[in-house]
Amino acid sequence: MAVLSARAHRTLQDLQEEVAERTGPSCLVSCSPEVDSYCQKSGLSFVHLLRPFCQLKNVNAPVRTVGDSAYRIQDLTIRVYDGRTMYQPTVAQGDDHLAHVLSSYRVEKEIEGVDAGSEESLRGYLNSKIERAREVKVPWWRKFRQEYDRLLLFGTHETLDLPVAAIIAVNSSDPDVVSKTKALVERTRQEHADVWNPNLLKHFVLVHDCQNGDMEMAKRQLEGMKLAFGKNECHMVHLNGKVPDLLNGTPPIPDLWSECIKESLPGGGAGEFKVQTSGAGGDEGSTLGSLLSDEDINSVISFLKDFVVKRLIPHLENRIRYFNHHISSTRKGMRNQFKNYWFRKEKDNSLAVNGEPAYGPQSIEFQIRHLGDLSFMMKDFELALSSYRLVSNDFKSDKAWKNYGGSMEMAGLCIVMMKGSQREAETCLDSAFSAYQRHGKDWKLTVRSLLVLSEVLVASDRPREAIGALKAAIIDNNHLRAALLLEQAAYLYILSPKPLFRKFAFHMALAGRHYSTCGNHNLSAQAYTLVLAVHSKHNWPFIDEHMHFSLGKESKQIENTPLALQCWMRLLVAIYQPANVQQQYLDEFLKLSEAVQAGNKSNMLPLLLPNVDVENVYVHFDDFRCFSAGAYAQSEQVWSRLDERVIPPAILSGQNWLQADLSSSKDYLNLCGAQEEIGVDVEFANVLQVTIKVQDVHLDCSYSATDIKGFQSSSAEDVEVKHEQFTLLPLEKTLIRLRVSVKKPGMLRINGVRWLLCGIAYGAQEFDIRGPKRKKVGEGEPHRDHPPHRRLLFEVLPTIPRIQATFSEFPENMYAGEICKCGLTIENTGAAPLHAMRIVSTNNSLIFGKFILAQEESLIDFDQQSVETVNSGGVYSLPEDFTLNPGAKMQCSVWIYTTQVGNVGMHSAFYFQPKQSHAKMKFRVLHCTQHVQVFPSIQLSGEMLLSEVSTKQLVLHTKIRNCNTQDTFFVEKLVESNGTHDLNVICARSDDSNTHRVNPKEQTAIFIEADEKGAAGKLDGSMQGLNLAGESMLGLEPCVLRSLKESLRLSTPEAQAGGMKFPLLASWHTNSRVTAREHSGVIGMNFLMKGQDKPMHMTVSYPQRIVHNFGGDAVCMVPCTISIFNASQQSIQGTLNLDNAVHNTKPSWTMPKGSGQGPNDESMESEGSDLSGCPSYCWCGKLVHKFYDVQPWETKEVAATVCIFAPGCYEVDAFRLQWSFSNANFSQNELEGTKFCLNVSDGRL
Amino acid sequence: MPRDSTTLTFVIVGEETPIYECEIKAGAKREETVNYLHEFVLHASLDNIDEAIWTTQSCYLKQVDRYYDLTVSAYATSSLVKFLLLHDSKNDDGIRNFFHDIHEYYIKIMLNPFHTPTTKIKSKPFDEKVKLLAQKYLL
Amino acid sequence: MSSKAKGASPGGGDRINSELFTLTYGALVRHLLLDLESPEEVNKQLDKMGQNIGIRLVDDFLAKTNTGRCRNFREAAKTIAETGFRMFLGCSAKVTQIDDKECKMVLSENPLTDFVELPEKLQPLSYCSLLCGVIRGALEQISMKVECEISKDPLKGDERFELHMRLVEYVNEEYPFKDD
Repeated sequence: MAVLSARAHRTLQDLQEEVAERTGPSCLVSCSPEVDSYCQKSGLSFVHLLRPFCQLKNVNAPVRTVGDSAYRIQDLTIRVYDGRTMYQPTVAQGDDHLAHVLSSYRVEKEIEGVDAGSEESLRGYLNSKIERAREVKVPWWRKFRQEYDRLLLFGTHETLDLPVAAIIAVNSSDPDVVSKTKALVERTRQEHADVWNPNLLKHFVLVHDCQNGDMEMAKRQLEGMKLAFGKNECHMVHLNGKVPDLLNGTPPIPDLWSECIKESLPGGGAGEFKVQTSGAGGDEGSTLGSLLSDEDINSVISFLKDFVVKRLIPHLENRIRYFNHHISSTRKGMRNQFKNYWFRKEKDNSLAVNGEPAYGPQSIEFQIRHLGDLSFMMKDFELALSSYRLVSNDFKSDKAWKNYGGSMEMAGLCIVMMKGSQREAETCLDSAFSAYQRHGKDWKLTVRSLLVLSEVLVASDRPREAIGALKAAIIDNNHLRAALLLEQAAYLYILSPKPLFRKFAFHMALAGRHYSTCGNHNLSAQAYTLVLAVHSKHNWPFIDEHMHFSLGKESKQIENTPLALQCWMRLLVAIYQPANVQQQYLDEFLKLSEAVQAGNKSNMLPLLLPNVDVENVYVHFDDFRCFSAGAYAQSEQVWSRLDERVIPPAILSGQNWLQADLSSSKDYLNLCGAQEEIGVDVEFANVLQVTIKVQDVHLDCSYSATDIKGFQSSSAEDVEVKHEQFTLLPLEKTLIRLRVSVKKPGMLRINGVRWLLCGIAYGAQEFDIRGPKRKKVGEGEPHRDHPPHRRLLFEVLPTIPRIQATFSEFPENMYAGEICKCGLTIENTGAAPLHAMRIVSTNNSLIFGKFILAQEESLIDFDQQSVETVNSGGVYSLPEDFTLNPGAKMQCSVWIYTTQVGNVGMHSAFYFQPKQSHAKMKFRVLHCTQHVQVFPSIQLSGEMLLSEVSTKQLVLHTKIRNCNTQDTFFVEKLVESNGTHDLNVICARSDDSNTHRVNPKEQTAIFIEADEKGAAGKLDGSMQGLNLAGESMLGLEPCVLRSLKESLRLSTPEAQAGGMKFPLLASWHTNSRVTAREHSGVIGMNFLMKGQDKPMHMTVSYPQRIVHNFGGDAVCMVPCTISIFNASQQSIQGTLNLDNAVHNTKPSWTMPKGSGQGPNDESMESEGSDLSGCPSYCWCGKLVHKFYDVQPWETKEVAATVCIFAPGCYEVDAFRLQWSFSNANFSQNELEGTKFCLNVSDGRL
Repeated sequence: MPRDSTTLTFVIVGEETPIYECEIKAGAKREETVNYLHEFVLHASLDNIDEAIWTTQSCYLKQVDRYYDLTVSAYATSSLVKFLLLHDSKNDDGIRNFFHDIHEYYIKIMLNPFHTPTTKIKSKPFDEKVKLLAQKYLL
Repeated sequence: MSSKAKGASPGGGDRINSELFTLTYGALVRHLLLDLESPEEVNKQLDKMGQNIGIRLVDDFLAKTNTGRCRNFREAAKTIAETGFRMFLGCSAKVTQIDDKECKMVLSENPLTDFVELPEKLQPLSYCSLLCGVIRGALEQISMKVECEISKDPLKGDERFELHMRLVEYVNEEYPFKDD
């Protein structure tokens, strides 16, 4: 046999003890009414009086049965039954009784305070259960087992419970005891004819009540009896010897009896009857055995001992010997065997009950069986086993399955008692089981055999098979038994060496189900709790739901409402259920919570409905950055760029420094001003398909006037929370901003959110915001590190000013380059004065005029105070000393100008400082965002050339393209924004009208001549087409124009060196198809001189016609002026060389010439020319001119002379300019002069 | 207990929790009780699987448990993620192939860095694949 | 970052198995999530790491592919798209709608996101923001300050992976060079 675990050993021992108790010799007790009345005084019956003492330990009595060797019996348990109860109750009665017993079993406390929600408590409960299940069997199972056996006592097919002795008890008070005893015996025989047999051992007890009649008298009576019945057959027991001393009550005596008194069945039987506690006993009767003195008890014990040792054991020995002899004579030996086999055929089955032969007391099988039982009682198991086996064969061949089963069952028990091989025992019990099944009349026996089998299997440490046996025992649809069996099986699963928790859970669940169907809600509830305990964290959705549902119902049945509530709460998130089911769950839950919470907010439930997104909240608050509506949405860098510009560096540095030592310690804190609202965006989701109402939603905050340590839950006077309410449609999500504002400076912590579900259930959830862990965490500080918009810890500063900026009639759509005007009102909504305001806007698209302080809505007041803004690089700053008091408003007009196209966000930042500045918050910045839809308008492009005509003149070749797809634009005015040039359109495409029309997606070109102001105005006359703007500058506000130029300057990247810039503004107007109104605006463009290629410019002015008399003078001198213009951005230096056409092929000229040798070259040239004969013309006079740093835009005039020797038309081109930028002495450039024509005629004729 | 004509419930279990459940073919009428009964049976069978794993080399564990006429076939990946199939008709090869192919797809899922053995598999394509395979092998 | 097994890498860097690479990156991201717990933080962190990578990577890149310093934004964008991605990520990218302040790059396929599916509670996480960091860091080294963000992401349900680069300014080397 496999080595057994300690538990198995224990179970084996219990099993043997139990069996021994179950199978002790049973005695019939019959007593006169008086005797019972005596016992009544101490609330007992005579039988019950005896019971506690029936387990006789180490009697050490020698026994000699059939074997030659005697052996000693140490312990022997006898069973005493009142004769009137020695029959078996009906099946129905039995079941009712069991049901009653188990339902009366109190197990509410089992699941007291178990929290269906928290895994820990469930686990804890499970483990405690397992522990208890390890050392003792489940208590109610034990109970069930005992009762079950008791109900099967006195079976007709087994002789185990037949009485082997009769105890006749008479009262001593009777004068003639002997005759009375005889009468009683007689009566008993008649009453119990079925169990009575002549050679039943009779024993007589004289019961004496010390409270009436004296002892001597009784003793005499006993002598009389002894004479009559024999010396050993009689005993005396005296009762009620205790004298209750009234001074100091009766000392409490140990309660020996209560567990001996089993409940009686309504139908009676099963060895029990109802004890009449009412009656003479009175109040003493309440405590059992209250009147029994120790002497009394001793007398009882000694009586029983004598009875067992002196009478019962010898008697049984005799019987055994007798039966054995009888049987062996008839059945042992080959002959008998054969005969027996032969004659079994024609054995009369006259008294057959329902198809199986019944065996009367005289029948040999009966006797064999009886022998078996007797020897079993006498613990002579070999004999018992052999006789059981013997008789079982007969039964088998008679197909008397019931008897066969019984005998096999006993055989199995024999082996167990002998500690024989488990296998054998099992086979016996197996066959018993199958036999009973074949008999198939009452299941009880089958089940019993299986129970025994399973116990044996457990004892042999094979729990799995035991489970099999238990499961096999679930045969009829008796829910209670099924439940018990399943439960037992479940326990076996976890008690087995390798615990199988899931199987355990499954069987428990089934058990629970059976329990609930047979209406035993306590057991059912505790079973379900165990299942939940196993399943707590595995979240199998359907299982969890079903379990919560069932447990909820059961625990409601047993008035464990808290538990029920928790279960229903879990059910609220059964998302896969159809709407109607969810609705009914919800209603059920609400009912319960109404009962439990009873409307007091103190006990909040961690409701999961509505589902709160506790990990993501967005906190809106104003520290030194305030946001107007919609400004939150903008990306961070937009604001950071604006802040860079608007916050004066001085303050910022200070701020940073302060922040530095501030942030080093308290970077988990948010700053905010007192009486300012903090908003927290929380998402509520309705996971169900039913509409739910959520009311009284508010933040749960705690406030501390001092510091982090001293938080206590917020009270209304210092923290004010706003209460929201909303209704969630099926599967709806909503984002709610919950608000809180603090009245006094201090610390605020936002813990979570609370709400009222459907007007009944109070729910709460704590925020749990994810974030990186912080290194060192002080007390009360958050353990995680969050970005500001996720922090829930606030330091509330004293009131700080705050402003509100509102734009009036801000256009929703405009054209690129349009200039729209709108109004701006700035109000100090805070409670403190502020000053030193500064304003910026993204790429300066907002242009602010001067502010007008509004005294109490009287804008057009006579002495209205107006404040100029100083614009430096797009930063508009109000004078330092100007303060805006709380509630004061000021207004200004704002011009919007942008050339971006599309949906343009106009972001602006308003900086200001509180008058008395706070250390932690020296300033504040308000961020505003406006959006405007910008349609494309016209674009300018083109290039700028220097006019050939004059160095003072530029030619702008301008292209105007209309990028808009549907609107036509009219270009009216063109202005050079520096105001240094006058413009003049040379040839316009449409010179009929005075505007330029540009159709959608078209492009037109105009040539404009720009003349430097004050230059010799030879162009004055040519005013045509377009009327050019004078100083009026398109009629724009100066401030607007300034910033316009500014932006224009900024718009194009810095021109490369030497390039020349010419900013042009073109004002246009259109009447839009989209907005159906007139729009007008200005588009700017920077013309860039193609700087590098032609920065120098040379023009020659000369007389048109020359008449010269060559007769008079052979040489005609023609004076002309060469003017050199520096169009570049830098000063230049260079040399102007004049030489003669004839020589410029000479190789000697190509060599690079320093300015130094210029003249002598020239001189030798001139004479060289003389040599070569008739030259067409030549330069004369100073032929080399040098100049140093000619300034940009400067013009140098050089007088030169051309000599002509014969009339004719000359093309003069022989002059060159070598120049270089004065700062960079490399890169000599050369500029050929453009040829011009001299027409000389002879004036001689 | 109330059941469907042919029941096929496929579950992937990581550690203790079902990370993917699929009622492949429920009968015309599906009682609410079926769901949790099936789950109970499947969950209980995990115990048998834990034992079966150590008895065989192959991932496919054949039939591991039965409750009345509901049979559970199982397949355990090397990372001890279990595929369970609850069925009431015998079809050994089909189930073997079914599991095998599922395993391939599961590996893909598992390579997702955000997938842990206990995260639920919500991927739509996977779901479709499973249904497809079920059609192919089981129905 | 390391080059991928498939796809020629002009620089001829030694190669590792692409799965290994992908899973390594996945593990990295997961670990960050465990540490920082909030997706936003992780995005920041990834970006920062990317920047550091980029700062170091650019020299290697310029050395291996002897491309001269990119003068302007256009060139830079093109080089990154055509050579950079090929070389270090083993996938080609092509530049769409470029002007000299912004451009978009579309990656043919993104090896970082093989097998990846974002759980819906991690929607804010931008899984590949490392790439943005790399690009920013690299260009920062060649004195271009750019903003880079993921404008289209298949993990968020878009049909392709697209980066959006915006030039902030050309910085001339200022001292001290920040390298955090």
